[in-house]
Amino acid sequence: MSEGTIVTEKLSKGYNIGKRSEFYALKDVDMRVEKGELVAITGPSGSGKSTLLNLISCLDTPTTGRVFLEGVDVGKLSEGQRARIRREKIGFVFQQFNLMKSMTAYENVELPMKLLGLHNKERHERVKNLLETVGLENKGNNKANELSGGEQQRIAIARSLANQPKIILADEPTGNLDKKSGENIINLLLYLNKKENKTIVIITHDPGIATKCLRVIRIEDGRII
Amino acid sequence: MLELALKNILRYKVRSLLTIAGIGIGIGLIIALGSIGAGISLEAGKVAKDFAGVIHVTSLESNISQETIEKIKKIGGVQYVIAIPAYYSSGANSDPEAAGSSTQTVFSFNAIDPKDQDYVVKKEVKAKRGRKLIESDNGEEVALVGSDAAKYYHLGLGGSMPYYSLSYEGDTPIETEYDFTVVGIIEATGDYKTDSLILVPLSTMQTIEPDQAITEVIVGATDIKNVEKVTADINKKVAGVSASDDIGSIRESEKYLGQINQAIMFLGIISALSGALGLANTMVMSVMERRREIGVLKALGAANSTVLAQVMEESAILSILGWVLGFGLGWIPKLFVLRYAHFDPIITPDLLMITFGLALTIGIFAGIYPAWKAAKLDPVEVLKYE
Repeated sequence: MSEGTIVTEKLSKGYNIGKRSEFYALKDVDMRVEKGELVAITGPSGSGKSTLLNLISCLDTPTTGRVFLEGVDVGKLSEGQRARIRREKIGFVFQQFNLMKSMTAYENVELPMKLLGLHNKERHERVKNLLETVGLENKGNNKANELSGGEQQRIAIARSLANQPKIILADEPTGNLDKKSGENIINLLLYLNKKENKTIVIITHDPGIATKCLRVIRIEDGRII
Repeated sequence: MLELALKNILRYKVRSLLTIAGIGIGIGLIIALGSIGAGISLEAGKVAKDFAGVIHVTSLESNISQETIEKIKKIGGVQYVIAIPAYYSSGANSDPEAAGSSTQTVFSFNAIDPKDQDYVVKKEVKAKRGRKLIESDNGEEVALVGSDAAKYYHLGLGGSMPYYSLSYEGDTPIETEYDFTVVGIIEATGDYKTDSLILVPLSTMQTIEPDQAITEVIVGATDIKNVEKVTADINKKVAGVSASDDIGSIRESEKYLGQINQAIMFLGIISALSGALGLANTMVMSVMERRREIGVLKALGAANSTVLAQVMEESAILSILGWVLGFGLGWIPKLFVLRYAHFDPIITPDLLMITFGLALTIGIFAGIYPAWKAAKLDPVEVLKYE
């Protein structure tokens, strides 16, 4: 019913600066993303986009307000339970790719499956399929840092899909790529959204990308406008 | 996630090797020193055992009579009593042809009751050729000789061993030669005490040298535990003699040896602990350098316990590899340095188990703080900055 949905209610994140004053990176954000939606979140630097994504992805906890992932109020969960949600329900794509440099492409894609405790055989099957999905079936044995930026980000997307989450969160996924590689990445995300009905939230500066998304949420000074 | 821990170790090979060497030297030192300590203790124990059961009884008068000896034999806990006056045959020893070299080796005639011949060196002597002394040899000029003594005097079975007795008629020295027939040659043992023995019957020597008094006898106790009691009993029950044993000083020296071993082990442990600090330092550095990776791991959903375990594993692996190196280094004294020493270092299973336990403990303790730091890393903070 609520699979793949993201809902926030009066979501705020404040930081103490100095003794008394508080700074709100995010203030009273109400947002609803349905299953299978492709949403872009845009806004200038420091507007609170990443803060919003961190809260949705259970990396951070709200000061006030609530985040529901697939109907579960994640703000109330323990650190261990939130780690489990990240493991099982969310795929994360970073601007810096953040692959493990000492590992091969194959091992990077396999890593979340190991964290989940999947068996060797199933891991092997899934990694093979995922490398095919992102078109890098021949690069499995390459070390992460032997790959180009675009290839690294494709491996990162394969990794985000490792545990078959319904939700993919991407923070500036094309920010460190040239135009053509960036386009490939966006096309891959669009493909995953259409073919596999993944709920995808992309943070981006790039108006070109935003226009490819069905819905654009704009944030300024911590509020949706 | 053992794989990841191994990968991290292999990623920084030089640093890992240096850290392993730090632990390995410490552990190696403990194994080496421990094995030397065990070797010395064993050897000292053997030597002590030779002396521990022995009581020296000296005469408070001019000599110890046969009657007194019989009295001592009747005391409970006494295994044997040997009166061993040493007779040096001046003639035989100074014969340059027989000596064959410039080094003067002194062999003494041990005059004993044939019954006691196995107690002289505190182990049973075996005749390689001929026979041992028997009761009927009393009063006969016969000898049972050790292999070195036989070689030195060029003696074979049935050969003749001269003994020169010196007496004075007024101021004129008179030398009388007695020839002892070799009735047996003792099997070579490699032990100097046995191989240089010359055993002759006590009663024979007493006839040849009637003036030589027995002033001291050696008493053996059946059990080392009784030595002090037997000593006390001799002093109490037998008049005219004073008995003393070495058990007190042996216990004292065992105590000192124990203390020296403890001090040595303390040094080894200090050295291992400095290795542990090196390991802790490596692990702190390793976690600092991998902050981002750890952040990513946590962002991907690794539980704190997973991150903790991974760092601890890495620390424990380094430490155990250190133990393996130490195990190798620990053999150096045994195989090379002390190859020709008078004792053999002993690497006991206990020593290996204790050091392995120590290495594992070091690995865990050195890993705790860095692992805790890693587990507590906030992925938001770490991933925010490039």
